[in-house]
Order: sequence, then C-alpha cells, then structure tokens
Amino acid sequence: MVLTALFVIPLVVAIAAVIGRYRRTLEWVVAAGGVGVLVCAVLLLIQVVTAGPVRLLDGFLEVDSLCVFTILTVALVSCTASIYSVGYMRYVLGNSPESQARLHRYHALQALFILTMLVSPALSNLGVYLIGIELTTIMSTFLVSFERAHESLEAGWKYIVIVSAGISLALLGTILLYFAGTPVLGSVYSLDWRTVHAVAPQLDARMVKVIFILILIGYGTKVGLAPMHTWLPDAHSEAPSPVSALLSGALLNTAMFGVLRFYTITAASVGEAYPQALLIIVGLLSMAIASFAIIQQRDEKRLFAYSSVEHMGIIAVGFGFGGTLGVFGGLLHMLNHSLAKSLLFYGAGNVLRKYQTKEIGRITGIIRVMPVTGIVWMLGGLAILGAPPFSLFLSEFAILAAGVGRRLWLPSLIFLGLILIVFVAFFSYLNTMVFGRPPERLSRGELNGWTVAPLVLSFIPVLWLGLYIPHPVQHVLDQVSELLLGEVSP
Amino acid sequence: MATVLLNLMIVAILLSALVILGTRWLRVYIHAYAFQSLTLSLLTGLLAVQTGHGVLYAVAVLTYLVRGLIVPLILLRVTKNPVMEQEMNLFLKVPSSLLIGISLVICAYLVSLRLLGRQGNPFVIGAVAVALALVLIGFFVLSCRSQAVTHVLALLIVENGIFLGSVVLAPGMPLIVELVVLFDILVTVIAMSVMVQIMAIRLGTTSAAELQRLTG
Amino acid sequence: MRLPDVVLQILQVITVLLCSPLISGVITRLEEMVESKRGPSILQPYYDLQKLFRKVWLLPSAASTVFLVAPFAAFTAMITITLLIPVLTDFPLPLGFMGDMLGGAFLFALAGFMVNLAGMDTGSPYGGHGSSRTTFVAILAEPTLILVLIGVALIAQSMLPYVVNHTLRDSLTAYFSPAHLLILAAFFLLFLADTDRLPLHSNTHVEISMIEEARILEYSGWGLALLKWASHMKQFLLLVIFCNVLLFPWGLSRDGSVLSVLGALVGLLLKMGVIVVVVTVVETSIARLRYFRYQEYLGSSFILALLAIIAHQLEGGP
Repeated sequence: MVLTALFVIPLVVAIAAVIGRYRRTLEWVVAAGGVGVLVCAVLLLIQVVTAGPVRLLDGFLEVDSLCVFTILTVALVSCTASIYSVGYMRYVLGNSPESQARLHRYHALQALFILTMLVSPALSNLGVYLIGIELTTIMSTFLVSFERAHESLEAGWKYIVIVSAGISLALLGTILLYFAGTPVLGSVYSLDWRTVHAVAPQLDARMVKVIFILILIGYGTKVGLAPMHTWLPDAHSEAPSPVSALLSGALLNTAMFGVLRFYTITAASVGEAYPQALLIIVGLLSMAIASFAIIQQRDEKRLFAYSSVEHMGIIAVGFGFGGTLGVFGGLLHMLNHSLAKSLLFYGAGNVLRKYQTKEIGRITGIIRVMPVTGIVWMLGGLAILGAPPFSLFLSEFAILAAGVGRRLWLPSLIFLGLILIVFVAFFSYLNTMVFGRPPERLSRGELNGWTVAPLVLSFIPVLWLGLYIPHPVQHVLDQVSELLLGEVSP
Repeated sequence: MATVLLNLMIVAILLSALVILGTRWLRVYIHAYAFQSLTLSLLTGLLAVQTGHGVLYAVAVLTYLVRGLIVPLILLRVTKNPVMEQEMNLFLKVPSSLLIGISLVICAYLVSLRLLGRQGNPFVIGAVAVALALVLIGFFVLSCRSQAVTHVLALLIVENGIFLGSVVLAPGMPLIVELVVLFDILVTVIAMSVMVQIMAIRLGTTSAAELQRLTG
Repeated sequence: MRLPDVVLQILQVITVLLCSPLISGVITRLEEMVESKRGPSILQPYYDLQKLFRKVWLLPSAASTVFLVAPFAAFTAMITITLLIPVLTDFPLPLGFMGDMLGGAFLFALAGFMVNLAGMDTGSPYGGHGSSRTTFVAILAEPTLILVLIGVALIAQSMLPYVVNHTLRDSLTAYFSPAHLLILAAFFLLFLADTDRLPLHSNTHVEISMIEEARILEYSGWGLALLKWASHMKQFLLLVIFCNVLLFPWGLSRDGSVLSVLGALVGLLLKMGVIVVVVTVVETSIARLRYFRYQEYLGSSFILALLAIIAHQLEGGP
C-alpha cells in the first residue's frame, strides 16, 4: 500500500505537470509531491524494519532493508529538491509564455526522474534493475542539458554517452552472471538476486571475479568512481541546481546500491577479501583524483561535484574496509552525504542566481548578501568536510576506525591524508566565498522563501544524525549491515 | 550444414563491425549496423531451431524489428540534418583503425578461449570471441570517432555484441530481460537522437570534437 | 583416350599463350559497351601484338643489359608459372611439383622486379615514376598476398594449388567456410590491384602518368610486344588461380582425355567470363582512389585476409 503510494505520487506529479495549466497550482503540487514521497518512504522504512521485506506484483518489486535504505536517501533529497526547484526555476525561466511550457516540461521530467530512482532499487530482477538505472540516465540527461547552453549540452551528451557505455558493461556482467548460474540452476531461471545469491557458493569462482570487475566498472561509472568519473563534474556543474542535488544526493546512491547487491553475491561466492580489495583501490583512487581536482578548482559547482566523487570514494573505501564498523560507516555516509551535498548544491544555486557566476574568485561575502544561505551553507560545508559535531564526522570516523581495526595501515593513512588535503583546500575556498566584502552592485536579501527552506530542512538532519541516530534508522542500518555481512534475511 | 551457416553469420557480423572501422561515410555506418542486426536476428532464429528454446523465436523477430529496422531508420532520419557532416574527418586513419580493430579481435579470441576453456564447443568459443570483439570494437569506435551519431552507433555495436553473447551463452535467458534490453535500446536511441537534433540546432554542429569547453 | 602428360603440359602453356590477349580484349570491349560506345574488336590485343612484333626494337642510348633482359625475364616467368598451376587438368602434371603457390608468388614478384629495374634503367623520369609507384603498391599488396597464401594453406593443409583445388572441390563445408569466402574477397581486391585496374589504376590506355604505361614507356617494337604479352598472361594466370583454385574448383579435366580437356578449356573461358563481367561492373562504376588512399584499399584487403585466418581459428581449426 505504502509502496504503491510511493510510486504513484511522482507519477501523479508528472501527469499534473503535463496536463496542468496554472503555474501556482503546479508549484504546490510539486512541493506536496516531494513531501508525500518522503512521508511514504519513512512509513515504508518503519514497515520494513518491523515486518520484513515488502513485495509487490508477485515479487517483481521487492523492498528489503538495503532497498528501503536507498529509497530513504532518494526520498529525502527528492523532497528538498522538489521544494527547491519551485523557487529556483522561477529565477531560471522568468515569466514568458514559452518559459511556462518549459517549466511544465521541467517538472514532468524531474518527477519521472525521481520515479525511476525510487523504482530501480525495488526491482528484484538484476537485469531489470539495470534497465531501471539506464532509464534514470535518460530522464536526467534532458534535465542536465535543460538550459540548452553550449556547456550544458556538452555535459548532457558526455553524460549519456559515458554512462550508457558503462551500463552496457554492467549488462555484460549481468549476462555472464546468468551464464555462470546455468550449470547450477538449469538453462532457464529467473535472474532474481535472491535466487543467484542462494547458489552463489556453487558458481565458477573465476567467472564471478570477472563479473564483479565488469559490474564495478559498469555501475561504478554511474556512481562516479574514478577513473570512470569523467562525466560527473560536467553533468553536476551544468545541471540546474535542484537537478545537481538529485544527481549527487540520490542518483549516485541508487547506482551504489547495484554495486552492493553484486558485492553480496561476489562475497558469498569467492569470499569478502576480493571485492573488498577492489573497492578499497577504486575508492582511494577516486578520493585521490578528486582531491587533486579540488585543490585547483575555480568553479564552485565543479568543486562540489568533485567532492561527490571524493565522497563516493569514501563510501567505497568504507565497504572495502568491511566489518561491522566499516559497513555501518559506509551506509551512514551514503545518507549523510545525500543530505549535506544537496544542501551545498541548493546554496550554490542561490549564489549562482544572485552573483550570476560560478567562478569562485568572483564570489565574496555571501554572508552579508544572503545571511541565511551564507550561514547554513558555511555549516553545511563544514559538515561535508567531516568536522564534528555533524553526522559526516561520525561516519568517516567509523570508516577510519574500521580500517585501523583491521590493521590496514597504509590504506587508512592514505584515507586520512586525502581527507585532510580536501579539508584544507575546500575550507579555504569556502572561507573566501562566504566571508569578505561583497560586490557593490548586488541587492541584499534572499531570493525567496522556497529557496531557503530546503537548506534549513536538509541541515537539521545533518546536525541531528551527528548527535543522535533515531531508532528506525539505527535499526535499518543494523539490518542492512547484517545483509552485507553475509546473512540474508528471509 | 547448420554449423557452416552459423559460422558464416558470425563472421558476417564481425565483418560488418570492421566495415564501420574502415569507412568514413556516415550512411555506410548505419547500413552496416542494420546488416549486422539482421544477421544477428537470423542467427537467433537458427539457434532457436537448433536449441528448441521457443522464446528465441520471439527474440529474433523483436531483435530484427528494433535493431534492424526501427533504430537504423531513426538514425537515417537524424543524419538527414544538413548540419551533419556526411564524410567524417578521422583523427585516426582507416588502416590504423582497422589494424587496431583486428588486434582487438585477436584479443577477444584469446580471452574467449581462456574463459571457456579449450575443450568447449568451438562454435561457442568463436561466437563469444566475436561478441567480445564487438564490445571492444564498439568502445574503440566510441573513443576514436568524433561524430555524435557514431557515438550512438558505437554503443549499439556494444549492445549487439552483448546480445550475441547472451544468445549463445544463455539461450534460456528470460524473455523479460531481452524485452527490457530492447526497450532500453529504443529509448536510448530516441533520447540520443533528440540530443543530437538539439545540438544541431543550438550549436550548429554535431561533432563531439567541438565539445571541449568543460575541463578541470 | 588419355593424352600423355607431356602433351597436356604443352597444351596448358599454349592455352595461356593464346587465350590471354583474348581476355584483355573482351574486358576492354565490354567496358566500352557499358559506356555505350562500340569499342575495339575483342581481337584488338592480337592485332597490337602482331603489329609490334613486326617492328624494330629501338634501344635508348642509356639502356643497359637490364633493359634488354627484362622483357624476356617477365615473359619466361609467366610461362614457368603456367607449369605450376591447374589450368586444364585437376591432376598434377610432371612439372607441377617444381614449386608451390609461394613459388608462383616469387615468380610474379621477380617479373615485376625486373620490369621495375628496366623502368629506372634509362633514367627517364616517367620510368622512375612508374617504378616507384609500382613498388609502393607492391609493398602494400605483398603482405596481403602472403596472408592469402597462409589462409589457403590453413584450409587445405598444403601450399600446392592442386591440393587446394581438391580440398575445395570435395568438401562443401570447406568451400562455404567463412575463411574461404574471405580469402576470395581479399584475392579479388588483390587481383584488381595487380592487373592495373580501378580503383587503383585508371584504365585509360594512353595515360602515361599511370603505373603500367609509365614503366614501359621507353620500350618499342617486339620488346614492347613481349612485355605486353607478359602482362596479358599475368592477368590470365591470376584469373586461372582465382577461378580454378579458389572460386570454381569444379569442371577441370579428370582423366586427361581430349574431350574432357576441351571441355575444361571451354569451362575455364566461361568461368573467366563471369569474373570479367564483375570486373567490368567494378571498373565502370567506381572512381579512382586518390594516390594517398591506396593504403586504405590495400589495407582493407589485408584485413580481409587476416580475418580469414582468424575466422579459420574461430571455427575451431587447427
């Protein structure tokens, strides 16, 4: 019931955007849809935690703990992004009748994008999940190039080409997995992840290793893990800000979900050491490449995009370090990163509209021009860098502790070093942007209420989760950890 | 006799991929792709007869409709745009790209031999080698040709390779997976075609070589 | 009644000597007809040879022995090749074991090499020009030829043209194997390049900047006649290899009787007729490639030959 509602709400919003006539009504529908999605996701979370997996359409859709966790992160960002997009698109499009049509198209695409991201993790068939991911790409491509400038078209094209190529490798991996399963399960069987997981120990180990590499490259492209990350800074920086937030906060997690699913299968087949080593290598590489790009960055949105690459690296390293602490840290970091990064992109959107530039050197004194945005943005920036008492400190610390606990000295040291490098570079940029003397010509004041509320809404859980993790979240984290550590719940 | 036919088809598929490496004309690309898809669907039909998997008949027909007919027609329509350069300027000349293509084929053969073992059915080893070769050649075309439409075709070649692999390795693959893959191809091609059209209108070019403003 | 092997061997040479100008004549005539002209008689090459043989061979003052030797070398090489390949009979004749297909390739190369030297010998700019271009094409074509031979050897497990003929004749599987079909395609491209045809060479007879005409520009009289005859024979021999060994391995005389030999001769001319029609179509419908795109053309024939070998592997061949 809740599950159906979760999928129907974005669909209704999309339809309303297509057939609706009035701008005000549409804006309220979009915002209400966002809130509705979040409410459904939370209800679903409670239901799954207490009563076990929820199935729909004869098991075609199945929501287990890992899935509901992913859906929760998507829903959180969808909620704030929907609200934010209402205020933001007013500034992008203006009031002409032509822009009215484009506004409707934007909201329809955004709702469909959210829908595909919510559905994909729930698809139990690994082949169908893959196509779900590809559909998210297609929906978001048009959102990325929505502004139709040279740069945004370039970003959109690179995005769809690189990610589709990656997904096709994942498809190859999925088909090889089916082939690997045929000696055990017969030539015709359903490519349900539970079915495969159940027979994982009997699969050809060499084949499974090849499959995991293909999957890691394939979904890794979508997650933005280096060296397949090249589309990410372009797409995230050229998209309209609410879309940047959705891409960074929600989409990356739905793709990471795929890596985790295959991680469980691989771990059950060839042991944990092999996939963990790969995840650590790829994760550290992502962090390293991102940190060097951050050091010499001139564009604020690209700065945040590279920071996303870095955080996806951190999450991968978290799962790579493994153990209860590592997996817990990785999962919590997925949630935290979604919240904090979307906050930063909302702030970046406000700044972009106010200053009409993305160049870091030309943005100064935000705190005097837009006090609320400035303060929350600064705090959000501190949070994303992992400063206490925010929740990202907790998750990064857990990951580091897991690495040290397993005596992986060198990776832990590199991990810590890279985080420190990013901290210094990122913080100095943030400092120059938020403080200092603002340009004279700018009018003081926020854009409008719609664009400030999401910042605050995202900030509250970042702080809250740092101080105290609510019981249902704690519970779902425990369940997912169990799942990833090798015990499949029925 | 069936083996002879299957072998012929496999080599025809490989050849059409190499044709794409060996020409500069956009239309030839699309026709070669259409021919490849047609051969692929015939191969699927033949395998359906041989293995007795009824599902494969449906897959063969759908494959022909989507990959062999609709997608090439869409692409041909897109290339009608006057902005589109019909003859490509290659930054890797034809002989070098052909040689690289051939080395990729040899690579694919060795990998297939290692993956399936020497004892396997020679037809399956050959077919998987060609499938992997298509994937590699597709990625090579993706990286060395700058036209936007060739990017689409490169991805389609990769998909064809994967499809060939799936038909040969896992003929019992559930229909739902094949269906969604075809649907996905259709949607991706339409989306990319729309992107190409928008690029042609807004930028006046469809050469991806022009797209290098975003760096760092 | 079975003819003695010696007679058959001599018949073979005579066939090549007498029929080769005919094929050139037919091709020229057909092309002119396609272009809706009447064209010269198909016997024109014979008239040309007759006329040239009656004229004096004038030696340029700068010419050396090489210049003198080249026509004979080319002519003899062609006759020697004739002995090695199945022209009329499908059983090997006594001299058929002198060399395999690689030997034949050597002899073709030898003839080309001698004419090249002769072209440069007098120091005329045209001769040097023609020779350098021939060498350029040969450099690109040679690897393909070697690969074609290797491919054939893989299919038939032998380099002897007679064995190849038997293998393909007896096994439909071998005949329709992708490797064989690809070799056919590669060989056809080579054939066009080797016999000075489009898309590499223009068929305009008097264009002296073209390869073949430029090389032998300094020749006259019966020396020129020998060279022209040698080049007719080269084309004919390549066609014989293409038809009798690779494309239509059927219809050769099995028992060596008069009737079957006659039948084989008629059959050979018919088979060549098919190829001639194809060649005509190619020549009249394709434009000449730019000089610097030759490598693309020959590269593709190289790839086809290479692919043939790979295809043979893919089929699970040894």
